[in-house]
Amino acid sequence: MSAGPEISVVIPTCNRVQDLRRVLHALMQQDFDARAFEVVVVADGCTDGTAGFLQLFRPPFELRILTRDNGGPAEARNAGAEAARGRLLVFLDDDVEPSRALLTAHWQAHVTGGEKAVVGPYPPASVEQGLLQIKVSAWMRDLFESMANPGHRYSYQDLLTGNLSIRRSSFMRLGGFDPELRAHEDYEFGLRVLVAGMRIAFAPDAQAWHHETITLARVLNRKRDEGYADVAIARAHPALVRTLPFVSMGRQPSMVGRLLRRVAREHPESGDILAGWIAPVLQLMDRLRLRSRWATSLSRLQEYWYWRGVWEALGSVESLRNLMQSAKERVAADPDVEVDVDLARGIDRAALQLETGRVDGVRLHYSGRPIGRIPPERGMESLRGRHLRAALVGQMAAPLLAALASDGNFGSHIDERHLVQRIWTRSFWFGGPVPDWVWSEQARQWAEFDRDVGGH
Amino acid sequence: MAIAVLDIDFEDMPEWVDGLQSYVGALVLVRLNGRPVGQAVLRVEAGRVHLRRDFLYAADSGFWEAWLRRHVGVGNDDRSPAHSSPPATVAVCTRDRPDDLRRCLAALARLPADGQEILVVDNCPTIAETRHIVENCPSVRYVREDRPGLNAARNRALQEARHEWVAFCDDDAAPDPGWLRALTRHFSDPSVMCVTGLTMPLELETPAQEYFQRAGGLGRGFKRVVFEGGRHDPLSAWCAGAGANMALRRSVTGKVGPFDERVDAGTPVGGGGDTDMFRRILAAGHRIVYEPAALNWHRHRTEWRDLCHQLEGYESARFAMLLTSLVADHELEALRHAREWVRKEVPKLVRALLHLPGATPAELAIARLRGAAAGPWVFLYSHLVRARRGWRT
Repeated sequence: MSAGPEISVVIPTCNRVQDLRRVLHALMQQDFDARAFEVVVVADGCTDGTAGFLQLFRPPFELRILTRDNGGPAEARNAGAEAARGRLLVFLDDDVEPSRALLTAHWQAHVTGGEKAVVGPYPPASVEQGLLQIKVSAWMRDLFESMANPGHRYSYQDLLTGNLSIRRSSFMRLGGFDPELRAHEDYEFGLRVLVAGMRIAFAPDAQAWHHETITLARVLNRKRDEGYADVAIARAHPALVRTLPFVSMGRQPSMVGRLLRRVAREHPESGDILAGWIAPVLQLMDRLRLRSRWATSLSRLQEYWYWRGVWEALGSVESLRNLMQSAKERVAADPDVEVDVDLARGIDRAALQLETGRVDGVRLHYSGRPIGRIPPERGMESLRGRHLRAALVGQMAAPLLAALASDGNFGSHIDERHLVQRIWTRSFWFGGPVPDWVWSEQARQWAEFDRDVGGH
Repeated sequence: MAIAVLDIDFEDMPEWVDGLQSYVGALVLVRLNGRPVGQAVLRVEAGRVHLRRDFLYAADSGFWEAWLRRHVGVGNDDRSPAHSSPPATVAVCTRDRPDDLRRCLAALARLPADGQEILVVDNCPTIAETRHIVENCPSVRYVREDRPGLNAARNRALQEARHEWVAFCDDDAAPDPGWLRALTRHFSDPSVMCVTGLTMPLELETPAQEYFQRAGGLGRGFKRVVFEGGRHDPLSAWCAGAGANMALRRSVTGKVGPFDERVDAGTPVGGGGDTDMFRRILAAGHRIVYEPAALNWHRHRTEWRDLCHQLEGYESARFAMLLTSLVADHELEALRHAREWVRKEVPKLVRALLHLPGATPAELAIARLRGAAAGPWVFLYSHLVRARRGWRT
């Protein structure tokens, strides 16, 4: 073990000594050998007794402490990584509580399969009462669940830093996080991971729990920071502009959306005052459990603050136009790779066709019959067979089944035209599952039965 | 003429099934490699249902999706392997239904032995037969609960259970051998407080049974749904499943309180104890998973009179729940739900009273209206009765 630790756990912290105590205690319970990892705590402008606690803390693993002036989490993580001696970096947020198997799971995720960034789940530890807390918790749980799905196509937005591992050499080669960003520095890093040809992966066993206090002010502040950061991402990576909300939202804005955008740009002072008034109204709606109105008002408020961040970074409509122009040029210089795939030769063969090289999108046919298209998307990993399979059982289920039926896949006794027609009548209920539709499909089956019986 | 109920695996689907002379049709539950995936309603001709000939035309989207997943090579997204789950308690709440209980216990005896505990809660019995039945089953524990009401019995079951996960099966239902494993595998996710399953009809021999099944029955379809307070309206929690087939964490009572003993069968409000629990689970931000692989077979009410009574109870329960959620939990949207109900149901009632084609039978429509109108009042009555006797509410 003279070569130093295998893993360096990097924890940036700022005035949250209670949270820090929890994460360090959880690291004492790891099933990974305590001599084989070190913990680097980066105390980023702490004034709350963090230093005192750390001085007296005697863990079984090696604990190193870096103290610095408040420079933000990106800089703190970079500093931690710089000081780290392990071959593998595991970034944990200070309010995240790792499970016993977390380090082992991260370690094993890097044993095979090339260079990658591995995200572990950290859903909320508990749900507090309140519509906002419930909503954010549900969103986080959904996010990690979608990543656990084998057909999930990773995008740069899946890279989250609360529970993340990457080889130190890869991290250094990528140049670490961008310290200029106040938010979404994780997304921006994720993008460089993908561009460099590394993978983003998910390790479900690297389970942790997030002890986050969710307040409206924090949620809205974060939105503003995100708006600001998205513009910075767009400037650094113009080809991505299409995927950023300020462009996709701007494409078909509702009347309210247009108004919000305009107020955020032209009358931010009055807008902020108005937004300040809406916050207590939201709380009242929450108390009265007016869920749908509350949800609409919240998303409007978030939209406003997002645009405030966007305009703060952009300055003018002119610079938005310039940004769009340079994006167009960049995309034209590096066009999407879209391929044609014939499913009639077998699903496995089609999947195999996507296993090598860069593929952004795919057009699917079955002996000349169009089945569907997975449109090219920027900022995503290359399309692979598993993504194709997931898409086939999703939005393309009906056309594919109809093609299989007309091709005689269900036996010679079957009237192909009749079967194809029945499959199309079912297609309304494909995909789902929407609870309200369950009964309508069964009612339809009974109606068909009545017609069959009546007809004879 | 009645409808036969068949349970068929697509893998070894016979050419036809004979001997169905007394039936006009067949409701077919179809499985793929043992797992229930869909249903079809087929014609019976001269006592025979031609499965291979007719099934595919009548199959539902659940079957087609499952077939395609297999064809394309995408798994079923099952959670952790079921055999690694800790043991669970199965609770059967019953009251004076010895024949149903015998069938239910016989089906429970066919579950794979995963160390489960089986508990029969005998609610306010007037006969001793239930006790005798249980005494003849050495692996089943008998508990007597003298406070009347299905929810009182459910609370007793949660108290008595030796394991953290408690699966409830109605006494008039019979679970499939894979039922318990399918329910409990979802509890590895700590945000899941409740898992509900698919309930199919045991038989459709009478018009009342067929009517109830055609109106939706107790099933919630063949696709898994994760219900979550952040996405689903707690006041529509009835979508999440039915108490005839559900499993809860024992600790749920500490988080959202016990079952409300003022409602459900055996109280003046004839139903809704399950829905009220689902509502509180969702409102507190927890999850309910509807898992169609957790299958049981339920004997629907055979007589019209009983069906009317049941549907009246459902509507009473709906309005009782809207009242409690409005008063106790400040759910202002309860008013909107009440208004929606009136807007939807009044035209249906008019159609029923005019005997228009395709309308609900008038008798049932009136029973539902009666239930809705009486709901808040019978709930208050139930509340007062229990308060006077000093029972917990």
